[in-house]
Amino acid sequence: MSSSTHDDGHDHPEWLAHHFETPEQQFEAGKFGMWVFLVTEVLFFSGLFCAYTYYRGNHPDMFLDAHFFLSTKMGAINTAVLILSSFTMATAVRNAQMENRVWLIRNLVITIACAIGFLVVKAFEYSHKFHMGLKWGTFYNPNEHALEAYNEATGRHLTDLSQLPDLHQFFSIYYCMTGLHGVHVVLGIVAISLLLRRAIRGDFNRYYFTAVDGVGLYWHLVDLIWIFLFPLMYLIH
Amino acid sequence: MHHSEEKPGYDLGHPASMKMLVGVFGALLALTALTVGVAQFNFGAADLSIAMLIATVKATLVAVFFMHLNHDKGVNRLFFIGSILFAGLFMAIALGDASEYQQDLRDFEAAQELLQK
Repeated sequence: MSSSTHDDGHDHPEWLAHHFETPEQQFEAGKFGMWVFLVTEVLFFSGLFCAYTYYRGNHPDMFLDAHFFLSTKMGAINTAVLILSSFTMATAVRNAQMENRVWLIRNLVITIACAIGFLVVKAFEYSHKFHMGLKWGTFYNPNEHALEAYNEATGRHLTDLSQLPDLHQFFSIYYCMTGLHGVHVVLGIVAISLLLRRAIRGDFNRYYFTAVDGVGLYWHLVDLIWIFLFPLMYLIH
Repeated sequence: MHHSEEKPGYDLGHPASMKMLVGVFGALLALTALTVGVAQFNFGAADLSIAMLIATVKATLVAVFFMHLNHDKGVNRLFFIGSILFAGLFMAIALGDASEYQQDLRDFEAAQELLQK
């Protein structure tokens, strides 16, 4: 391991920042900062969960009708994909700690692939809804495709668009919650890609893997939020 | 591999066992299948509670094992659990406040209908 020499009387390895006494202190400080960030994330999302609870409490029928437009299959596939990515992220941390560079790189690549897969499925879902005119707020404008899908899912025979239930509030909440979660997935891909670059460069060892651990914590939180979004959006009956 | 006889300040990497990680992964997939399966049946008002219970078990597995809170410092646990409690407090107060005004809203809507006639 390479060391850098200072004028001010002590040496330390490149991966140990000047202001830390020991690798353990550096790791614990970094991890504590990450947990504080995750606290703000939980509170950030809680506003949307609050909106969800309020609107579902006031309009249970709207949420029930909306589920005819959501595919449980797509949601379940994405849940499994995110769980797999969480698993590979957890094993990436393990491999960083054990200095197994090859498997660290492999695990990070699989995690990124899963994250991209998640977004691809999400893109299919969004474009399908856009096609039916099911957008947010004032852009909510269902067309005959929505009518067709609704009749097929419910077995009803509505003939006029005005007979469709008004679901614009549900879809506003749906896009806010899944959209914000999607932004977190995109940022996760960026963060894990930067990790991958550093892993290939060989930055990590058993005394320095803080970055892998921190991004891992973030990624697990993204998974954790989806674990709640999935039943709240896709499993309403 | 991990050496437990490190000098002080160098004992930080505690690799999780592969067996445990695979076990948690399997449990999460099984619980996902369970929640989808259970959703096909109608339990009435209990539907949402069952789904939320399963989601909470899954979230706990992720937090305790994947985020290794089981080996983490008390302060990190306190912060995370605290954030969830505060999120709950926030929702409870917001929803309690909203329900306080339900009667006013209904009165307002009734008055609007009367005006339109």
